[in-house]
Parts: sequence; C-alpha cells; structure tokens
Amino acid sequence: MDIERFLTDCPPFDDLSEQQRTWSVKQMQSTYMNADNCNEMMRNCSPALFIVRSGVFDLKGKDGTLVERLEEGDLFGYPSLLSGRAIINTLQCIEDGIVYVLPQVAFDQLRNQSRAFERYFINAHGERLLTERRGKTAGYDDYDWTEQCVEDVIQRAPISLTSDTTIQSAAQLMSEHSVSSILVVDNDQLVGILTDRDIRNRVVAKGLGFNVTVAAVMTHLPESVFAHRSLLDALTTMTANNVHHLPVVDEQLRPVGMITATDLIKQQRSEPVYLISSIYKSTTRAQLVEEAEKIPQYLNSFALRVKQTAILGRLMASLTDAMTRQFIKLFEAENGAAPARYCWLAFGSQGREDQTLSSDQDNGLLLADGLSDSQLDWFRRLGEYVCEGLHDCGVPLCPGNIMASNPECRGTQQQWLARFERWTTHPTPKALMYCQIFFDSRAVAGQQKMFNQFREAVASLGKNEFFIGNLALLINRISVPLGLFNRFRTEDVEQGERIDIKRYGIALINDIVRLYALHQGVTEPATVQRIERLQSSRLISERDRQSLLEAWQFLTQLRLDHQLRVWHTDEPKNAIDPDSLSTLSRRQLKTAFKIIKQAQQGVGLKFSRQGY
Amino acid sequence: MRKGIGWSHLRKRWSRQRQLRKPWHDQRYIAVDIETTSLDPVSGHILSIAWVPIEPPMILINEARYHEFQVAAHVDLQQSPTIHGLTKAQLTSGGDIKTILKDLEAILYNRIMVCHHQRLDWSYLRENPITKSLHFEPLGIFDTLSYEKNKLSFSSESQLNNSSLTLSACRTRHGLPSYTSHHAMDDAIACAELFLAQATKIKPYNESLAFLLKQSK
Repeated sequence: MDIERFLTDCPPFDDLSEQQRTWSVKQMQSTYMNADNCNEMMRNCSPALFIVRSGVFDLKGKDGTLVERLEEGDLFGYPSLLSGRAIINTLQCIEDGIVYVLPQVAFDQLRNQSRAFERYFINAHGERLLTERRGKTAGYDDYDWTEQCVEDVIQRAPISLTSDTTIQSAAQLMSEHSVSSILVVDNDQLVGILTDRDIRNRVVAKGLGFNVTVAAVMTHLPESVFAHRSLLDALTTMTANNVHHLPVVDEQLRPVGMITATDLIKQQRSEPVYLISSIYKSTTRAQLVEEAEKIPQYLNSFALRVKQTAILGRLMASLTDAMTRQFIKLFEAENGAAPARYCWLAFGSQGREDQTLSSDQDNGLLLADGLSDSQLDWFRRLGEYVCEGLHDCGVPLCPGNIMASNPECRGTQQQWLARFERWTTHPTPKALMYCQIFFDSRAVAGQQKMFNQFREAVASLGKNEFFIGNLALLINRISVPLGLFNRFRTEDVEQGERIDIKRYGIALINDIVRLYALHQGVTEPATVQRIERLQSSRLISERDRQSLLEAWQFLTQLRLDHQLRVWHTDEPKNAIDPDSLSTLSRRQLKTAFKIIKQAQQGVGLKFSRQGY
Repeated sequence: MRKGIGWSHLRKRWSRQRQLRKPWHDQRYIAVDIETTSLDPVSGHILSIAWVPIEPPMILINEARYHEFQVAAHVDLQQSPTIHGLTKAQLTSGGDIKTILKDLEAILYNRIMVCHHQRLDWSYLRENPITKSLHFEPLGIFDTLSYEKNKLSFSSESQLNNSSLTLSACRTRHGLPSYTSHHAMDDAIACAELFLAQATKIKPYNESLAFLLKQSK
C-alpha cells in the first residue's frame, strides 16, 4: 500500500517492523488540510501525531514566530502527546495537502513496542534530534572502546612510593598489591616508574643489593598520559615509546594511576595499534611511505565499525603525528640528533585532531633562542625533509604554505609571538584567517615544556578584546545556508546543487568554539575538548554547549560518510547534495544549521561590539 | 397495503430531501474502488474491492476494507493484469464475495458513495450477476471525475481530453501526491482525498449536499 511505502522512508516509522508499520496504518486517519480548516483540525484531533504527506505548513509559536516549516515527511503534535499539555502552537497553511493523524492510543502502543520509536520522540521533544543515529548494524548499546577516557578505566588509587625507598620495600609493596609496576612520586610530582623488569634487569641481574634506592634503578621522567584523554591516546603513547606501563596524571601533572597494555587489551583488541606501530617500525623512508599508503583503505573498513566519528579525526591525527615523529627519527639517524631544544608544532585540523582524508599539512617549528647558522640550517633541512615526506605519505602540502619547510613557520617563541601580536592588533582578514589556524596548536615532537610556555603566552595574546571582537565580526560575515522558511540554500557547482558542510558547518562551529576558548584562555586545540572546557564559562550555557557539540558531531559524521562514498571520484569532498540525504538526515542537517545560526548571532552579540 | 408502501416511500423521500439540504460536511461518505476483469458489468468479474469511509474532514483509513476474490480458473483476465498489475497467482486467496458485498450494501445505505468514474463501479454493483439479490441504496453518488469535468469546462482554456481526467491527473491538479500503484485500496484512498480536496474548496463552507451532488452530475 502506498501509505506503508511512504512510512518506510519516514523516520521513526522506518525503525518499526513491517508488521508494526502495517498495524499503525490501520490506526490512522487522514485529512485534507487547508488554510480554513488546519487549526480547527489540529485542535480537534489533538493529542495525536500528525504526519505531513503533502503540502506545506508553518508551525508558529505562541508569539507568532516560526517554529518549523513542515513539508512532506515532517511530524508535528508530539510534544503534547508526550507532555499531556494542550497544543499551543498554531498552523499556517502555505500549500494545501494531505496530513495523516495517528491517535494517542496507537502512538503510546508503538512507543511501548519499539524502543527506537520511543527514543526518537524523546530526542525530538528535547530538541535532541541530532543525537539520533542511523545504522542498524551498530547496536544502540555498543560503544567505541577507544573513545573511553583513561580515568574511566583505571580502577584503583595510584600505588606509589618515594624515590628514597629501598628496592626491597618497593618489591614488597608491589607483591602486596600484586602489581607489576609502581609509580615513584616525590612531593606530589611524578618522578619515575619502577617495573618488575627493572628489578630483574637492573637490580638482580646486575647483582645489586636489596638496599639500593629506587631512584638509582627506576626509569626517570617516564612518558605519561592525561587522565581525561582517550584510550586511543594512551595506546598511541605506548606504541610510540614501546612501553607497556603508562602513568596517568591529572592537569597539574599529579599522578592519579597507571594504565597498562593489558588494561587496553582487556578493553578490546584493535587494529589501530598495528597500523600505528607499523609506522613506528619503518626503518626507511620508502617503507614508511608504503605503510602510509594503506591508510585510506584501512580507514574505510575501520569507519564502518566505529560509532563516534570524532575518533576517526583523532586517529588520522595520530597517524600523521606518528609519521611526523618517525620522519624526524629517520632524519636524525642520517644527520645526527637535534642540535638544540625545539618543538614540532601541528596546527589546523591536525592540531585540533579533526583531520580528514583530504586535510592538508599545517605545521611549524618552535626553536630555542640564540641558534647558530649551522643549527638553523639543520632545522631548515628537517622541515623540508618531514614536509616532503608527509606529502609522499598522502598528506597534501599546504596551499597557504603553513609548513615547517617555510622559514616564516620556523622561529623562536619571541618570533612567533611577534607575529601573533601583529595579527591580533592589525586584524586584516588574512591575519584573522592565519590566527584561526595558528591558535589550534599542539606539540607533536620535541620539548613539551617549551610548547606549554609558548601556548600560555599565545593564550594571553588571544584574550585581546579588540581581536576577539574582530573575529566575531568575521564569523558573522559567513552566511549559514538556510534560507527563508528554513529551506536549504545550495550553491551551484559543476556537479549540481551542493552545500559545503565544512565551510558553512564544521569550520564555522570550530570558529565559534575557538572564540569562546580564546576569551576563556582555554589552550586545548580540539573543538570537542574545548567545548568541555567551556563548562566554566559564564558566556555560554550548558544547553548551547551541548547543542554545538551535537551539531559538530553530526556534521563530521555526515562529512565522513560522504567522503568515504566519493573517495576516488571527482565529487567535491566537503559539499553534499541535500536531496540525496535521507529524510532524517535532512531534518538533522536543518537542525544543525539552525543551531549554528543561533550560535553565530550569539557571538555577534557577545563579542563584536569591541570590533572595528 | 398499497397505501402503506406509499407512505413509507414518501417518508423515505422526505427524509432524503431533508438530508440533502444539510451541509455537505455533516454527511457520511464511502469512497469505493472496484477492480474488474472487463469493462462489461454483466460478463465481467470483480477481482478486488476496497472502500474507505469519509466523515469530513477525516478519511477513516482505520475503517477501510479491502478484499481480493478468487476467480474461477476458466476466467480470462483479459487485459486487466497489465492494468492492475494483478496476476492469477495473486487472485487465488480472498474472502467470500457475497458476504463482503453484503457488508458494502449495509455500509452504503444512507451514505454517499464516492468514486472516480461512477458509471463503471456503480454499474458493476447494480448489474453484475453476483449482486442480484442485493440492493445498494446510497443517499447519492459523488463522481470526482464528473465534478472535475464540470469545473474545468467552466474555465475557458479547458481543452478536455481523457487523459486530463484520470484520477492521477485530477490529483496532480489539486496538488495531491501521486500514487503509482493500481491497488484498489490506494485508489479508494486516492479518490477519497481528491473528493476532500474538491469539496473543501467549495464556498461557502456550509453549502448543502444537494448542491454538491448537482455539481458532479
């Protein structure tokens, strides 16, 4: 029957079984709505679920503002079904049409029978439609283990001792708690780690006495991972450093526990480990390039299994990080170790960890002060070597030349800060664009401490209200592709009518979130983490943060699905055809753009008064 | 005796007249669609039948009925398989046609039958041998095709031909979605929707049933 066919593509009815769908048709009535009868009809039939089959209607709020334009496949009336309150919205008929009416009794029964149906309306009612997920392959309850926080996995309180403890008491403490490694902590700071292996190799095998202090045999200043980072980060750090025990520290670098390779294996065996470690195992440039060539195909199969897309952006960034570190290592093997302190910086999408298959390189070098010409030359050659290498690995060169191979992108902290300062005080459009890339920075290799100092100084420059005001103006100049009555506004490109969801969606959210982050002095580069950090901001509400996060997640997911589909074709990689989307995705895309539009106006009001 | 019959007949007529003077939307309607093996109501067979009650402004899909009938093996389906997308295999299951037509007889009594191209459906109900003992007594018949034809012939540019009066062409003209199937149930609902689209546009809103029926003669 036609109605059944129609419901098959009308969420959430598409989630019902065929039998349930047939049953629901048998509970329905339908009606022809026009300007004369639509409001009376809505009042008389309520509470009920209304499903628009044809025609166009505007749902107006109490004060006459447009709530939603309803077209084929749209639903209304459910808030009063769920809340039991009378309908307060009114309808304005733009185009007559057929509307199906499902009464409360049937609606409730479907809610009882189908969890997906129930969840859809609970989400839609809470304006949480963006959290709806498609894909019946991934169960609703399964989660992606690599997205879990480290702190959620470490179970017990940290077992630690001070560095002046004797090996014997250390061993006793370890066997008492049956652990294979222990943290060495002096004055609340992590100073080292001691493992079973250290005791075997460095004490017993060497024939040292049991009274030797831990300080003499421990591994000093071991690699560690922040408690709020994901298991993927822990994994990356472990494979990069070839260790099986990783101390976990809090924001103040105080140890809070230990995570081991066994803990990760317990969570689930995963392939990213193999890919990342094969990059680290490459001993020649050719071998490394060969490993990197496997990434797109690998990502394709991996993408089908993960639920959270954010993880893929981070995985891509982790892979680029790994390649960068390995190229640096290969360069050092040929040219000797770095002649001075330095830090390899990642900017833009690699910095934010939302890289995609088509993201280009954005990187730079932070150098120690007072380098000689020959030292500077060493870093010049390093920059060129790594950037070319990354290019060979499929990470395209940056068209804007934001790369460590460019002398402009190698500098001391002072030189970097001077550039930032010029941009913040003379915000030409180009300078503002650079800022947006450079403020999303992360240390990939070299001295983390050097980076931290640099980042703090950059953050204090970013707090400049004049500068923030100009960024807010810039953000408001981009027009969200929602036209009159919330219709999509597409752009005519060679391949047809498209919407660039990167430019008008993801990038815009990144910009908005960055603005709040600058104002608040948040130094995290990743958009998702920034949103988390903004919890303490009085300028943005909990609800708005949540909405932005969901819009961002939805859009990145949409982009990923699109990119995997059009990979190896001439189709634009960031522009989608709204007509090719499912009904649900179209509704969600509109919701996402509405959220962005509001957020855009929000930063305009809050920040732009100080602009020029 | 004769007197008695006369009185009852008069009473019926009087009550019908009274009913016809009431607004069209205070009436009950039944949209009917019948799929047959031939255009000839005497020799043809009914393949399937569907009806859906209309109580303006609602179409009661929840009370719709649909039946397919078993057709004796010797019956030639003629062209109908191509038209209706039906094959013999699909026609082998179904209910007892007499019982179902009896239900239709009961539900049509004192309601208005709505169909697209009434001559065909109505002639089957009256002339097909299977309905011999039945008396279909609807209050009136509203033909969405005739109504559309009358409306269009009022407007000057109307160059009417057969294809501009098909159910789907009429629906398109009223901005209704197109249904692709030739399923009797879809056709009955499609016809019901077209009826509401036509009737709802009549001004004033309280126009009588008599007026409405006159428009679809």
